[in-house]
Amino acid sequence: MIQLRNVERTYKTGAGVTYVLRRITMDLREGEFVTVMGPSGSGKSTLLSIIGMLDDSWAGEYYLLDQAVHKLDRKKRADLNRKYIGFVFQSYHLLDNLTVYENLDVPLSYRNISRAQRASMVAEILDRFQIVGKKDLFPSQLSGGQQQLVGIARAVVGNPKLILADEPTGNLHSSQAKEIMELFKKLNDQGTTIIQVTHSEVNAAYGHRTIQLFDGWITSDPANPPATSPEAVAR
Amino acid sequence: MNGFFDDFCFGLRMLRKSPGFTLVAVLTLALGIGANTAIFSVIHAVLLRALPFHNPRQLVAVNTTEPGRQDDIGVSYPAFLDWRSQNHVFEGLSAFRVDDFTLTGRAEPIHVTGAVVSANTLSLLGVAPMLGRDFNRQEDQPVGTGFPIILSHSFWQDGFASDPNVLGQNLTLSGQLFTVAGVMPPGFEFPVERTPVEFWTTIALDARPLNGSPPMTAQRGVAYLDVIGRLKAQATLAQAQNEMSKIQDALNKQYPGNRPKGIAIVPEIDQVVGETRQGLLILFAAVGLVLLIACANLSNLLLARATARGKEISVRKALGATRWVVVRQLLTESMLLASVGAALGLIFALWAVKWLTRLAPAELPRISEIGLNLEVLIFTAGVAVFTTLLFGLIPALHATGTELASSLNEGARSGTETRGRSRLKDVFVVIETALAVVLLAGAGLLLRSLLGLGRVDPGFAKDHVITFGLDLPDRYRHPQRIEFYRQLLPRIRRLPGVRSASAAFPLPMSAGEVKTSFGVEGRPWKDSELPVTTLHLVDDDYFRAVGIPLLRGREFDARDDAPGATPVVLISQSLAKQIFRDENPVGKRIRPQISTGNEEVPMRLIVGVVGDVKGEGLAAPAIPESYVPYAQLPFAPMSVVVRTAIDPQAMVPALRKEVQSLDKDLPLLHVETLEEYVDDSIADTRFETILLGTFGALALVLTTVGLFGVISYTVVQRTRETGIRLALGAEPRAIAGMIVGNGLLLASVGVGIGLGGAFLLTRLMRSLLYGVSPLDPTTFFSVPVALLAMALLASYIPARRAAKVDPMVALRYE
Ligand SMILES: Nc1ncnc2c1ncn2[C@@H]1O[C@H](COP(=O)(O)OP(=O)(O)OP(=O)(O)O)[C@@H](O)[C@H]1O
Ligand SMILES: [Mg+2]
Repeated sequence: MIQLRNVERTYKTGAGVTYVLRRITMDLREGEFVTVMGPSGSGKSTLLSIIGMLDDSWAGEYYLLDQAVHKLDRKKRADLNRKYIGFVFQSYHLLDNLTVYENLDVPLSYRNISRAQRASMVAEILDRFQIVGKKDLFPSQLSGGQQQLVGIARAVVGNPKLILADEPTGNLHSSQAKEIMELFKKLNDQGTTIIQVTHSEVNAAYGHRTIQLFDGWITSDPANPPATSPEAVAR
Repeated sequence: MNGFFDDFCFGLRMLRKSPGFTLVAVLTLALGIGANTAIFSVIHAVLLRALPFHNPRQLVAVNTTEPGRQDDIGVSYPAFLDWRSQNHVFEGLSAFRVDDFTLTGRAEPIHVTGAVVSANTLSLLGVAPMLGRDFNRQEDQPVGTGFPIILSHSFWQDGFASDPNVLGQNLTLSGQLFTVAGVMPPGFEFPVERTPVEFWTTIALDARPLNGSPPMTAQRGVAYLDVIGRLKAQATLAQAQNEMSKIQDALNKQYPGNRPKGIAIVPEIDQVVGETRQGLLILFAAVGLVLLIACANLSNLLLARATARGKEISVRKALGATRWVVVRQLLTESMLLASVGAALGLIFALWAVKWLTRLAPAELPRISEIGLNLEVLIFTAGVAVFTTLLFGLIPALHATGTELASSLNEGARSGTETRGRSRLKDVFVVIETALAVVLLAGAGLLLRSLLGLGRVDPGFAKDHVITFGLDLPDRYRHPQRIEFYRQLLPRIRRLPGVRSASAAFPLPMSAGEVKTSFGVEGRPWKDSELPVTTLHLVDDDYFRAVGIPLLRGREFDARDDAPGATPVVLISQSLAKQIFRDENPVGKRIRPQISTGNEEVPMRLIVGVVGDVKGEGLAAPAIPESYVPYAQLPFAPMSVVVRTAIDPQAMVPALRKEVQSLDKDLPLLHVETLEEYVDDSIADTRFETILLGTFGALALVLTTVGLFGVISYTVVQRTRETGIRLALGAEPRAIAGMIVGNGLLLASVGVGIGLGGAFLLTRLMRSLLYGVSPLDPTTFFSVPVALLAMALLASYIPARRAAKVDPMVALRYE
């Protein structure tokens, strides 16, 4: 479903260029649940935002469902994002001024969907996540776990093929985290491809495989054992 | 307690730390306060300042009125003497008139204006000469040789080099001998007019026989004097009105040959200020609105700052500062801003006042004495304090507590303070938009009036005509006057560049006018019911020179000028309509009640009908007019009109040469083009339009900047939200649309409220408008469109920036 070939991401800094991602090559099959781990600053969020097509300033090749993303312009990439991808954020990022219901409606409002159909989609997702009773509350009136539940619901409401979750349980108690991970598992079982970033081994265990990032390099990927080691290149 | 000093120093530091904010705030305040100071200086100089007389509140103008006319038509000297001897309410009554004189016998003949006053005038006003003596009562009659004359301080300075030995010197003014009796102190002026007179002489000047007719002071039919009186200490205006009306009623009965008149007693200050008060007050209100808009902008800036300083404030509170202490700190900063703004504003006002003085219409009196004085400084300081509270208090209260926030919020879920704050900002933007709509509607209506006036046909061709007055001294008897013009006009007509030339009295729109009643042959009307016409004395070729069309019959020509010719008259179209309806008036006869000397007033044959002229200004309706050949009524000082093929101003030297080749002691008075007369007649509307237009433009700019500020601020505030939305698939265009929509929504609400306000307020300016309703649809349509267009612009720029937000910021926040 996803192929990355020698993807690189650099930042221009005062002195010169800083490499944040180096020669990232990885493959992801449809229906997989992959965990990305690595120390802080190793480039996990950066990788996710490239895959999620929020970032355009990278080099290399990126295929999504046989579309050559690296050849597409911004607009086409935004279309792909809308069509296939749902995001879950560490700090939920619900819109404070909107109710739960309205928050769930936001991604749909950006798609070409009729109002009536949107209403039924939101109703269905409220039902599926069992948060119908909370639909008129504002985010500030929910607990952290409940907010993240809404965050996931919002990511799922447009029926994305791929969910990208950047430390989705980073701000939660372990019991709440467990619930969320169960939910991801269920979604994955129903066929959604998931990439999650986490620092927790417990969460990583929910995935099929774990890719390790270090200083922008992939240091281990069970699906692609002969990964280049950073030391080899550092010389 | 040194708290204030600490606040002051800290405030200075805070303002220095954000120079951009400080600059914008100070400039906004300087504009707002400066404009208010400038307009207040005008209001103070014109409306509020006491008249330069002793106890001026006791002074009243005693106006003579006629049915259907508001203004003073003047009183005759005999009637004035009756008023004076019969009343019990005045300590004194004084009569006066202003006239042009020519000072000769010195290097060049020069034109000066002087007042002819009853001898008690200066003592009635309570101001004594600085040098020499006041007039004495006997001097109301001619005594000895030389009429007594008292010079104004500036005439003494400029014309006599402040000569201390000027007393007793003889002067020749318009051929009469005068003897200097005194010099008035600086600052004294009477009557109070735009251009003060340069000297005063007594009414004895009018007591001399005139060209064979009885002196002006002896004719009860010649109403030509204005009257000022000083009320007795215990007398009220109402008592005076009552008694004077009774006296006048008795006079009306006693002299049934004169048209019955009424009396209107008006406080002198109102007489001086006249109709300018309403316009000035409207301008004052308008400039106040500009200040309110500026304050709304500043409040928003401060609210934005309060958000940025939230941490500082909560730390202060955590360290034990009471709310009041923090509010005081914030208000001190506002006060600092307002003080610097006011100081800059004063400089700006000084400049603006100069500009205003130049722009002001001629009927705005006392404006030359505008300046920065204590009252104006107090006003400015007061405005600065008021402004501080206005723009500083709400943000300060808001930053220090949630009370206001929650009151403006829906329900208890408010937790976040910023939400209330941004709501408050929206409120301010809505308010300023509404105020701007009101201002722009006012400005728009005035502009439409002015444009309308520009299209009004004055009834004559105003371009390429130069005019000037001549003040022929007494030694020119009637035959000499006729002869003088008979020689002058052909000389002028022969000058290269001249198309035609004539002479007339009075010129259209020149303020002077001769009103007279007239009888119509075959209609037995009572004297008191006779219709009225404005009479013009004209020389040959007048209608061609001025460009008034002849509609019927013939113009005057040589046969009307011959001695013993049939008395004739030309009438205007509206007079013809009024008296003769659809009949042809040519060949009919009327008897205007005017003649030279003592012979019987003749019937005059109507020989033609000419077009109507807007004789009293473009905004006034055309009045019924009639024209008589000058040779048949040669009594008034005539003005010469010259139609040129070239720039009319360029003719002036040649014209002066022709006049002075006939009489070297004759200066040209009031050299003005007809165009200038027309322009002057709408100068008040132009003045109001320019000022209100300036305020409207300021309001529009401030509002646009305010909206831009708020929207930009929102965009920054909502960067995170924007990032999330983009990550959820929003198109940048949709984001931009949302921001622009937000701006337009705010502007629309403001425009809606403003239209309501304008709807209620513009009717107050009805009297300033011409040919346009206070609810003019064009204005009420274009003002909202203009504001919404500016709102679109103001939100489009930040919207574009919002659309460029990097969605990764949403992730970066983690
Ligand atoms: N705008 C930027 N300019 C320069 N460097 C940046 C910028 N944004 C991110 N980086 C750098 O890129 C590197 C990778 O950042 P990234 O957020 O992807 O790390 P991460 O693995 O997600 O870390 P964490 O676990 O702390 O979230 C970091 O070293 C960071 O400093
Ligand atoms: Mg990260």
